[in-house]
Amino acid sequence: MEKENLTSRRDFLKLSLAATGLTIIGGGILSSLGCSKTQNEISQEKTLQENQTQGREGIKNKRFAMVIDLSRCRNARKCVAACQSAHHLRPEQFHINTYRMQDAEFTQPYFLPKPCFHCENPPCTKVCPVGATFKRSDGLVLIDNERCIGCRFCIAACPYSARSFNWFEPKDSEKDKDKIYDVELNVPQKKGTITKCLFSADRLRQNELPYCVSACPNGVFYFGDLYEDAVTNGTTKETVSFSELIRQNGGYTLMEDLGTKPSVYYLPPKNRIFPFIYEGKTSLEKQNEEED
Amino acid sequence: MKKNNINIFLIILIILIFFSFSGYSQNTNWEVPSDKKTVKNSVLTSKNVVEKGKSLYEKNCQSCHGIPLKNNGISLFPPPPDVGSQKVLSQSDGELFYKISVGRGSMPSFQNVISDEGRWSIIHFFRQLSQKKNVQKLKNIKITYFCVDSSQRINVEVFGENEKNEKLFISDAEMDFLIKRNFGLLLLRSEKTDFQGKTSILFSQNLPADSLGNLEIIISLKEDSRFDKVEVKLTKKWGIIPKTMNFNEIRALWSLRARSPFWLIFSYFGVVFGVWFGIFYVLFLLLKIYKSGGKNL
Repeated sequence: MEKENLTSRRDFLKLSLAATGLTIIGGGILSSLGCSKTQNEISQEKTLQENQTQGREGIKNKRFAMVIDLSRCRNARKCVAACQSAHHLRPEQFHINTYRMQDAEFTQPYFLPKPCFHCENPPCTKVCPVGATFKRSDGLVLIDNERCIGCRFCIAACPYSARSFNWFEPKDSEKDKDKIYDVELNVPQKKGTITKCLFSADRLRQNELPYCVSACPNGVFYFGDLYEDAVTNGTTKETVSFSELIRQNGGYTLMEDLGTKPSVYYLPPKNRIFPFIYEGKTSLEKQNEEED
Repeated sequence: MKKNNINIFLIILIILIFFSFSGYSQNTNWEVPSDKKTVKNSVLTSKNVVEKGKSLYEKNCQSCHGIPLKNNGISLFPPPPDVGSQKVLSQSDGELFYKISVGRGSMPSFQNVISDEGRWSIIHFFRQLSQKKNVQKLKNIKITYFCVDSSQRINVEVFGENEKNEKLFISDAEMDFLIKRNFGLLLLRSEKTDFQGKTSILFSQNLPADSLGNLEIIISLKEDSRFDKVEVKLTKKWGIIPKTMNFNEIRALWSLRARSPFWLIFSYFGVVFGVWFGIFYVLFLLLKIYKSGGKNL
């Protein structure tokens, strides 16, 4: 009995020694693997960090503004499509959308493209508890999804409803899995974070017009730098003086009484070259019909 | 089975032919009411009228129809025709006027945008295009300029050579003075050269320039029936440096913690530490009473 017990103890000791050795070696191998992985991560993180720092720094000596000529919009929705494909948005998510507007019963309806207004005094950035959304030196209001915690305070604060939330897996989440997050493009989109119009900050860095502006077939959008007092039409590529354009056409901003000072200006739907044609129905109209 | 396949093929073929034909008919036949066809141009032609028509064309039509006689309209369906082509010029004045006024598909209606007189001037501009087609072009076009820094003026002279290599001053040529902007060229003014091929432009004193005060000026000779387009670029320190504002350097509710003033940080932390100190002091006194266990009472 005792002998048996002894051998078993010896066996046990041997086994435990071997196991400890194995664990140490295995641990060493694993930790070295882990080390190489973290190094990889560091190199990736650096580029992500670079993206984040670049995203927070505005383009020097620029102050971007957009002018939208309501008399030319005929709801082609090319701006919406170009934007959604560039920023990998689901069909129900909009950075820019065109709305059918009618101000009063006897006024003429018109179409209104509405991006983010990149306010000079943005209410959305004030409420962010983690500093994920910010205003840059060139006037753009962007969001860093790596920092966003998805509290949606900014959605509540924005009077223009310019922000949307990634409630579901983003559109190209499988394809974008390995991409490094770009603050200026907001790709890959991340579930549980905010997404918003960026004035195509990545294109502006390359001195190109935003996606929506260059996609419009009807010359609705003007975009440019206020310091230069010049805006360029995305369709005709004609450059005009910003102050002249606003002065001659009676340009205005939306909800200026809130003190937000938007960077997007509208020209009234006057002398329209396209008649207002809308064959579909708004959800409100359908609802009213059902109630009747 | 085989017969069925052939039948389906035939049906598809018929549908395709029908569609291509309907597309074709839409492409070519734009019926104008007969009473509108015979309407006469109510504006008499003159050099000024043609000029007006040209500038209206450039502003409203050129973005789709392209530069006349260049066939460089944008690709739409049906394609916007070149206004110098036979397809356009073979139509009567009344037909053209009707089409410009009413529009169809991607061709907008200009009834409310351009006055009647303006639309007739555009038609006059189309008509004189056919007269300009076969002229020998001048070569070796040169633009020479002289800048007067004190008054911010540029004097320009344009000349070229004919087939016999004789030097000729180009009169009555249109010159654009443009400045470079972030996304394109801003047209400051268009000037015509006089009979000696000379023109000049006075630059405004308060043009916004880049951060160094430099203006990149482009002098462009517009293409004509007599010559091709020529451009000259120059840089002048004639602009004013715009007052820039860094949104991150001003103090706002949304600005960073680093921008908060010292008195605010001091009073905030003063209040916070004061309150906590009071609470802990009370707790400390209570502990002291407890420890004494009522011995001193």
